[in-house]
Amino acid sequence: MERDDRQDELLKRGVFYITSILSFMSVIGSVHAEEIYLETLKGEARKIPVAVVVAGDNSSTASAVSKVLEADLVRSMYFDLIKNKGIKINGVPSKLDEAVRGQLKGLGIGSVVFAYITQNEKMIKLDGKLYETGSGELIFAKRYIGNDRLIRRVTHRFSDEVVFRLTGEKGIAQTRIVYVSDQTGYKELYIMDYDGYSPRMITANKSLNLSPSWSHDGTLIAYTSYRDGNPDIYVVDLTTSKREKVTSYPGLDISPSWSPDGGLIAFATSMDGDAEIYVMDKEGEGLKRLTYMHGEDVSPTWSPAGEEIAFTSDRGGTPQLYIMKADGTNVRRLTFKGEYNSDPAWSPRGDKIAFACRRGSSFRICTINPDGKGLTEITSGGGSDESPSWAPDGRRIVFASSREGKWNIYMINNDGSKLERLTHDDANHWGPDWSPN
Amino acid sequence: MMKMIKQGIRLVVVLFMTLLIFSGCSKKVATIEGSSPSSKDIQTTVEVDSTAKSGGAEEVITEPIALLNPDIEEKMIEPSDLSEKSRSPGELLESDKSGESATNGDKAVSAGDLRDVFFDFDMTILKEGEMDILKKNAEWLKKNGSAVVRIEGHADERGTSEYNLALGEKRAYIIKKYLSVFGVPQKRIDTLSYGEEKSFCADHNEECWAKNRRGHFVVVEKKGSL
Repeated sequence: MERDDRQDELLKRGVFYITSILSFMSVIGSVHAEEIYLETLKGEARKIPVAVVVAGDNSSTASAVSKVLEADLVRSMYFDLIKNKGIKINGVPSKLDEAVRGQLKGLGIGSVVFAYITQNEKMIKLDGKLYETGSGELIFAKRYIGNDRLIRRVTHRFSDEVVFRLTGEKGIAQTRIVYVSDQTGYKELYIMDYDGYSPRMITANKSLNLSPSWSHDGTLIAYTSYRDGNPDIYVVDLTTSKREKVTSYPGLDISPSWSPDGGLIAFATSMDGDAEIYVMDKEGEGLKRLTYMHGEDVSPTWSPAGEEIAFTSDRGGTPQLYIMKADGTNVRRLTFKGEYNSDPAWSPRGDKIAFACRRGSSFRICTINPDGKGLTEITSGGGSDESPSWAPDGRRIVFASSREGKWNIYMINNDGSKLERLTHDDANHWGPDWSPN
Repeated sequence: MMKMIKQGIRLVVVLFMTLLIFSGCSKKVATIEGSSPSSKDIQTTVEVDSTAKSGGAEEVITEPIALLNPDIEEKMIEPSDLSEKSRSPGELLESDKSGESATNGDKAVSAGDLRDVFFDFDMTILKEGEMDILKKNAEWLKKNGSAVVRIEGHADERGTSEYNLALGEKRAYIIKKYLSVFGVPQKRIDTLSYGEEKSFCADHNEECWAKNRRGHFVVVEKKGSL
């Protein structure tokens, strides 16, 4: 139902819809239904022009909010921020007056985003308002209140509301990224805001912690840790701080990935000699083997509907991407170009799989459609780009790169534009995974 | 009003009415000129209705989840414990001066005459020269019948992290299999992969990468004398 509603909504807004394709698998005589993918073709090209006005009792606080708000709106990729001269807005509590509307229209501004910041004691109040220029009407007004330490979060909340009111899409300004950093001399896990601020350590075992993966409700993180000597999979509950070791098989237990319904974790284990893909529930029970081929099978990633799993395998001689059904059947090879393709990440929109594609002696981030078409190299430059992960809106990708020497976390739009470095301390950072909400 | 409802904006209606109710009340009028980077070119007067308690349209922002203390449920290892984890000196190759080995409580002792074996890029096949080293290692292990070894599989930095862990594991596994062919009981051989996560050599060149593609021997338990 929810899916249908969303499709209707998207259709109304002129979003094209690619219908399901039925391909007949004559070999085994069964009908194999491809997953249904949505693709936005409108709205990418044309951005909504908005003006942002932030004011407050304390101009430095207002200025800080303004920076965060503007950066959020630009990153959303939906807006053009219009900077202009000479416009004067007087008293606009419920409706923009005719004269102001005329001026704004003349400047091509469709909407005006207002924020007024009040600070007292340790509390910050953001009075947010959004006006539509055409009618002059107030689209929404809301007061956000929070501890002043949360000034960025308060602003992100308002940004997301603006994005939602103007586009119907859920904003990503409140999302976060989990990653590995060697800041303490050990590879520990950290969580930062999607814009790189407020990093926070979530492991402290002074061993090796790798491959964090966020559950689809955003409350659990599965990861590999060597804390007991052997690489095993752990799950930490972010709401309770409770940590559980969910595997302790001999050899490697690595690259956990949550199924979209949150019920299963796909991972790779070498308990059979070769690394093979298995699934289990989040307590580590109900183990089921999915791959049986000679060679290493690692790095599973689920399609958004949970029907298929893409993974890396060297069964064909070199590491390449493969796709299988979630029960391990119908395996097909996805990548053929290049000697080394790895680290697949299925877009939440379903239409693309991002991965690390080797070019010369280093990796770039590539995307490919699940049908093997549309191979696109989206990063360029020096160093190596690895470990892609999608934003929940499927419009941008976070990855680790050594392009500036040390390993840092970067984000980039899925069309290869707007590269932004997110980590700025002098440590190394790897393996980012974007939160689902 | 109807138009707004049609647009599906619910809370706003409430707020809009609230604002109308309060529009006659005392207001604080702030004139802002260039108070933010975005508005420095815009002369703006914003009227702030400080009395407007926006019914329903008020939201308290709280801390995000994951403000957990990483130390909770995570046993911290004291620095004095860590020294035990460092690889003991005097082992293996001269070039091998960096890095630690085991991360757990194993007491790694000198690996004596055991030598590491090396691999080609993305390969798990043992080259002839390396096979000779492995044979000598097997002889040593047979002579030192109580020694238990851990073979740590490593890869160079040029692959992707997760695949390299599998590659390192396979290298360690292959070495273990050969040692058993040469007569060393498998139960005396443990394997552990570090992939590219614990490099022996940090530079980004072939000389360095070659040193990092290895099966590294660590004696984890040895009773009796050597």
